[in-house]
Amino acid sequence: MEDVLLTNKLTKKYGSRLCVSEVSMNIKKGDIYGFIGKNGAGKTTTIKMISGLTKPTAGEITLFGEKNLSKGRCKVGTVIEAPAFVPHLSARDNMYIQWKLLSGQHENVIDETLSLVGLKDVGKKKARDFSLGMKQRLGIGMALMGDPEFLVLDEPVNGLDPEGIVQVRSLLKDLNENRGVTIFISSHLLNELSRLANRYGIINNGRLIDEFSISELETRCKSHLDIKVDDTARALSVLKEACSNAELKLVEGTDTIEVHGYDGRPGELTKILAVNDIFVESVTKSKVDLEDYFMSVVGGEN
Amino acid sequence: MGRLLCVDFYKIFRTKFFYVVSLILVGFNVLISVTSVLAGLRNYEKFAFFESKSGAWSVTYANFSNIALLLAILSVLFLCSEFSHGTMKNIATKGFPREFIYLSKFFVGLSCAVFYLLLTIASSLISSLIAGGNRLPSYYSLPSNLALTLLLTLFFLAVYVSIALMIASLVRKSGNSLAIYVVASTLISFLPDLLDNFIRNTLNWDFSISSYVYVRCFNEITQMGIVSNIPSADIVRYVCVGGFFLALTLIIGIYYFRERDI
Repeated sequence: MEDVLLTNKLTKKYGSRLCVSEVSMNIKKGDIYGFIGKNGAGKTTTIKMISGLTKPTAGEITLFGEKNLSKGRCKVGTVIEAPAFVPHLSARDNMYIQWKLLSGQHENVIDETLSLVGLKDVGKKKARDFSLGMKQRLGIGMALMGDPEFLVLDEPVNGLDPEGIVQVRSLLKDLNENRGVTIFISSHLLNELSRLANRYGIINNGRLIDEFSISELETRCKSHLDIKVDDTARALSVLKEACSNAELKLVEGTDTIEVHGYDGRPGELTKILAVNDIFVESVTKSKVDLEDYFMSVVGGEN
Repeated sequence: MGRLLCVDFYKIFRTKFFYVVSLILVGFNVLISVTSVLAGLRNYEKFAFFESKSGAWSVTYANFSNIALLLAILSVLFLCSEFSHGTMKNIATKGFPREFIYLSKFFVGLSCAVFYLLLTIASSLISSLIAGGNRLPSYYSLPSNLALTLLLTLFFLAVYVSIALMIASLVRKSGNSLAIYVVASTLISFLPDLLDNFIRNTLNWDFSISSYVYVRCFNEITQMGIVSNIPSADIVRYVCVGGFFLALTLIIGIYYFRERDI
C-alpha cells in the first residue's frame, strides 16, 4: 500500500536538549495511526516537524512519496495543539478563509463541510462563543478544506465531554472509511484511541520505542485467567498436569494464580480444582488493554 | 502569493482594529486641521499663509506624520493576532513559503498605508475647507510637489510597516511588541540628536547622524514638503536612508520568521 508519511531518523534538538531522537515511522494510506506518549515525550514536536511548523535538526520526511514537502503539505489537513480560527468570525467565515487559501473546489464545499462536522445551523454565531466540542469540530472542518488526503490531529478530543468525544470519533471514522482519509492522531485518552486507531506508535523521551498494528496489540495483550485458591502449591501442581500448554504464574504475596495461554473454558479448571479438593474463591478473566500495554512499555523504558 | 494576499485582505477588513485605527486617524486629522485653520482665521498673517497654496497644503502634509504610529500599531496587531489566534499555523502548514507569508502581511500593511494617505488627504482637506468657509480657494489646486511628497511619504510609511512587522514577528505578542516599538521609536528619535551634539561639541566634527535616521527623514518630508522643490541631494538621502532601513528590517523580519518555530 502507498506510503503517506515516511520519516527517517527525524531529530529535533533545542540547544543541547534532545526533544525528538531519530524517529522513523511509516504511515500507509488508509491507516488511522495512534501516536501515544506522555506529556513532553515529543509528540507535538514530531507533529510540528511533519506539518512544517518546526524545522528538523536532522532526518528526512517524505509525504506521499515526495521529498518536496510544499507539494505534499497541500494535501495535509492539521489541527495542532488547539483548533485555530479567527474568534470574531462565524464558522462559515472561518471556513471561507481556509477555502480561499486552499481550495480549487466550488464554494459549495464550505456548506458541505459545515454539514459534515455538524455546524451547518450555527448561523452567524461567533466562533469564540462556541462550546469546546464545536470549536474542535470547526478546527477539524477547517482542516478538511482543500480535500486533504491526510489528517494530522494533535489531541483532537482534549477537554471534550463524552458526547463530544463520540461525535469526533464517529466523524473521524466516517472520514477514514468513506472518504479514504488517512489519519495521524495523538491523544492521551488511550481507551478512546484504541477504539479508533488500527496502528500505533509509542514515543517516550523523544524516541519511538514501539510500533504495532491492532492485531499485533491483540496478540501482545492476550487475556489470562486469575484463579484465587486456598492452597496455591497444590493448585499449581494440579493445573500443571491439567493444562500442560498453559503458562502458570503465582502472583507474589497473594493466593492468585495467573493462567496464560489457556484456550479452554474457565469452568473446566474450576471443576478439576474442586475434584482435587482445592477450594476456588474466584475465577476472573483479565484483559490487558492499550493503556496497560502502554504503561508496561513506558514503565519498562523508564 | 495571490491567495495569501486575498486571505490577508479579507482578514484585515474583518477586524475591528482596522476601522478603529481609521477613525482615530480621521479624528486626529480633523482636529489638527480645524484648529490650525481656526487659529489662522484669527490672525491675519497666519491666514495669509493659509491662503497660499503651500500654506493650505502644509496642514495636510503635517498630518501625514499621524499615519506612521497608527499604521505601525495596525501592522503589529495584524501579525500578532495571527499568532495569538493560532491561525498562522493554518497557513504555515499548507506549504506556503514563509517568505511569501511574511511579504503578504507587508503588502497588506503597505496597502493600508496608501488607504490612510488618501484618507488623511481627504479628511484634512475637507475639514480645513469647512473650517475656513469659502475663504481658502488655494485648497482647490494641487501643489507641484504633491506626487513626489506622496511617493516619499509612502516609501517611509513602508519603512514603518516593516519595522513594526519585524518587531511583531520577533516578539509575537501584541502588547509587548507595541511597547517595544514605542520605546525603540523614542530612542531612535532622540539618541541620534545626542550623538550629534557629542560629535559636534566634543569631537568638533561637522557631521549629523540624525540626518541619516529614518525618523528625521520622515519628519523632514512631512514638514518640508511644502517647499516647492525638495533639493535633489535630499531626495537621494531620503531614498538611501529609507532603502537601508526597509531592506534591513525586511531581511531581519523574514529571516527570523522563516527560521523560528510557529
